[in-house]
Amino acid sequence: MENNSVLTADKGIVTPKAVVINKRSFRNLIEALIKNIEVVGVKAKDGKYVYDRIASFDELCLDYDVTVIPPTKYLFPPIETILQFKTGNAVKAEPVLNNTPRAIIGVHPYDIRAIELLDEVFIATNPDPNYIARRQSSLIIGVDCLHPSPKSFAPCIGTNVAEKGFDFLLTDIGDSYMVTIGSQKGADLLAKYAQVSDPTSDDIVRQKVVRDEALTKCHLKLNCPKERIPKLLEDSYDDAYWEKRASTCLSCGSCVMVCPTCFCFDVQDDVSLNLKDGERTRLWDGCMLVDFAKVAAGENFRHDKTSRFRHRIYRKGKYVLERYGKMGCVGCGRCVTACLAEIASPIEVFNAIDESFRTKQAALRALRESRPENELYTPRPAEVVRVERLGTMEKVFEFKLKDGKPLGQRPVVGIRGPFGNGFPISTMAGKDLLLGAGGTGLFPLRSLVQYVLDKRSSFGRMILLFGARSPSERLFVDDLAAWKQNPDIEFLETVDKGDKDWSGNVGVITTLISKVQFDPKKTVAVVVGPPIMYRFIIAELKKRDLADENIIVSLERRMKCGVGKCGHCQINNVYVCQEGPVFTLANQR
Amino acid sequence: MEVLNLTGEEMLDLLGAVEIVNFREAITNRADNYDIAFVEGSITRESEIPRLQQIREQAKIVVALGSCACIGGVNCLKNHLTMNQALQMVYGDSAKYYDTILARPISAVIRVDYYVRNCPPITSEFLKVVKALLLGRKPEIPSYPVCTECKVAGNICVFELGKTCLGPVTRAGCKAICVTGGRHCWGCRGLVDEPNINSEEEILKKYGLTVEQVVEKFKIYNTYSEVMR
Ligand SMILES: Cc1cc2nc3c(=O)[nH]c(=O)nc-3n(C[C@H](O)[C@H](O)[C@H](O)COP(=O)(O)OP(=O)(O)OC[C@H]3O[C@@H](n4cnc5c(N)ncnc54)[C@H](O)[C@@H]3O)c2cc1C
Ligand code: SF4
Ligand code: SF4
Ligand code: SF4
Ligand code: SF4
Ligand code: FES
Repeated sequence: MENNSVLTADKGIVTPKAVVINKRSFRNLIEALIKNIEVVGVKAKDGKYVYDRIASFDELCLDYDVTVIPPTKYLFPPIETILQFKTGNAVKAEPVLNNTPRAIIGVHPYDIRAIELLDEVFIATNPDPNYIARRQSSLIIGVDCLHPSPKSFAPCIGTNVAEKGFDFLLTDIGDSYMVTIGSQKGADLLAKYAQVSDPTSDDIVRQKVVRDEALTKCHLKLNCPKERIPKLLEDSYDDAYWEKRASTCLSCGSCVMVCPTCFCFDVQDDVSLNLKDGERTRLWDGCMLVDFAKVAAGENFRHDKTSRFRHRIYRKGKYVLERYGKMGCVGCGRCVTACLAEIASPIEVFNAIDESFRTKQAALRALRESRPENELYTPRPAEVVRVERLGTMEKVFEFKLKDGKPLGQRPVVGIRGPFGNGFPISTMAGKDLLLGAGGTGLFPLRSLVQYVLDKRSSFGRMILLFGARSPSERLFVDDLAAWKQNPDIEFLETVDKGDKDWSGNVGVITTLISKVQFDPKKTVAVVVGPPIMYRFIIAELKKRDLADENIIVSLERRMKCGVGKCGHCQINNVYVCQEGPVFTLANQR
Repeated sequence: MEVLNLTGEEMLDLLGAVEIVNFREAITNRADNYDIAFVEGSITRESEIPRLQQIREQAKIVVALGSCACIGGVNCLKNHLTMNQALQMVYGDSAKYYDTILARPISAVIRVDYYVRNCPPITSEFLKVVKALLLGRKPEIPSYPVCTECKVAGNICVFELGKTCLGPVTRAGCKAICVTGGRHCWGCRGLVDEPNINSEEEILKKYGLTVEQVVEKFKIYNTYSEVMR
């Protein structure tokens, strides 16, 4: 038949040719196939559709929406024996290949595109004999999807049409099928079992009409061009969206098990009870399963559901595309149905991260527009690497940028701080001062001591109580020794635990309070130290009738920003870094 | 006992590979030390505890066999009653002759090395564990949920058919036989290591169960699990 010498090899490119076959003739073709080889195809089951063995033409359903499991299971089965072996004296290993001739009937274009991806994975690089054997012995008879599932978004990915990857593909145009021939095998099959004719111009118009109608039935839209998805993903790795979206993930693996483009697997060995014969099997596996990325010693490099969820989406939209030149998702929508948590849909995720990205961009743009460009500077943190003392009031600081880069010409060097408030010197003037320093709390109080010593006549008595954990943890030992000799300051110190060289006080800092006399009417106490110390010292001071207004504390918090944003220092509505760190007991309450 | 349903050939192979030294239900031999001890049933009486501890001391490897031994199973349903109520229900007037304690899996009493789950246990999985242990390897038992195997089996999810299922949080290994057989998963193999119980609960509620019904569903096999306590 002339119509079947349709494959014109033109510079190696196969041009598909279209013919028309009436439905009765197609039926005869399938019945003939059933007599000769294994025929599998789409069947109705419980209101859904599944691929299964077809025993008679009437079981076949060609106007379905989508099947539960894709036809790729015939090329890359859920479980497949790939090797049989014997151990013992005569060690033997035989590869197992499946060459059963099989026709797969009713494959939708998106699934054909998925098979093309699998071809790329299993044939183009590191050829896989098991896949190749099954692929070469399979006939793929496609059919255009004219009643797409509401969850399909194949048109957004461009996988609602297939031009190759099949032996022939049908389009239902009423009482007959338009047939696109995709291979010599397909052409031979038609020549042998069917009567075909050239399409009339009417047939061609009808094919276009039914295809366009099918397109209008897909309502899902991708909000950005599909070419943007890889870059979009690249820029959204740390988006908070991933964790939110993945929080309900059951790690159930349904989304990857039903996917025509998922091809991860596990390999297991099973020996028989005689412990001599055995076989090696290959089984579907998936990146959404908890143990998928587990390595020796139990380490799991994608141990949380967020990273697994993100990984799957990155494969769908980026990794597979970059490696194999084809998107890792064909938009069949199966995972959307399979996911009970309703989170697996790639198109929903792509749209959500696109929106999140755009929101972020808009916010940045607004910020840039609201301030002239040169005012927006990015601070680069530096550290002090050397301090040189020039005189009593002058020091040279040497800075180094943390990123190691040179400062450049005429750099602007900013020094942040001091943050927050300071000691209320004016209200302390003329009063007696009782200073209590615990451990590193001596740092801020030492400045106060020096200030008071400088302006000695403006203040009354100055009593300093200092407690350290041990003699070796005392700070500013030179200053401590000098203060001991200085008549302008009454200095008492203690350590929690002494050592053999320590002859001074032993005990917590509160034990020092009972050793000093002061007049609560004219004394202001300033306390700086660890949180636990405040509680005991304050209780002791109150016993001695000191009023809350006259007890000043400086609170320590883990401050991250120092500018009232990060919230680390926040106590109710107060930012310690802004309104503090110095509070009187009266206003701290 | 399910393992006794092995085919004749399997049984002969098994007997060739191992020596059964103490099998209270089938034979009466006893030995002082075992390589592998399989323990069936949950712990419901005080007197069982020292016996179990003795088995642990004598066996190199202890394998829990069946849902009751592995996870406490249906026996733990009685934990929702007072122990006296439970005794009355089961033994009526002769209750006073029995002691009973909160039912628990054997892992609540001794260290367990491996588990052959399911109610009743599946012969092929039992053999798989025996073979692995004979080869000195760790048995490969899935850690993922039943859904994975259910999809592989090509089933239509029962949620799509208006029913509910514990498959998403239940440990696989049974090849989802209940769903394949037209039912749903009851959770007999116990929970996966990291079950997303909140999510499963939300799903069950979305598909029409009340909070009480959700709890009842989990109770059947998983009363003893962390999440139920
Ligand atoms: C990509 C990759 C990189 C790796 N890199 C490293 C690495 O850098 N360093 C490292 O130490 N490991 C590495 N490994 C792991 C290591 O190669 C293997 O996992 C390990 O050697 C296998 O030992 P196993 O005990 O896990 O045996 P299994 O994986 O259980 O078995 C391996 C084979 O031996 C057979 N076998 C096992 N026991 C018996 C028996 N008693 N009688 C008969 N046959 C038996 C099995 O049937 C199987 O065919 C890597 C693995 C992979 C996949
Ligand atoms: S990711 Fe989902 S929609 Fe995309 S091909 Fe896989 S199953 Fe289909
Ligand atoms: S995304 Fe959905 S289907 Fe996939 S593992 Fe998570 S819960 Fe299961
Ligand atoms: S029927 Fe149950 S086990 Fe199967 S996929 Fe649905 S929820 Fe999972
Ligand atoms: S499907 Fe569920 S209830 Fe049934 S055997 Fe498997 S784990 Fe047990
Ligand atoms: S993809 Fe299989 S080991 Fe890397």
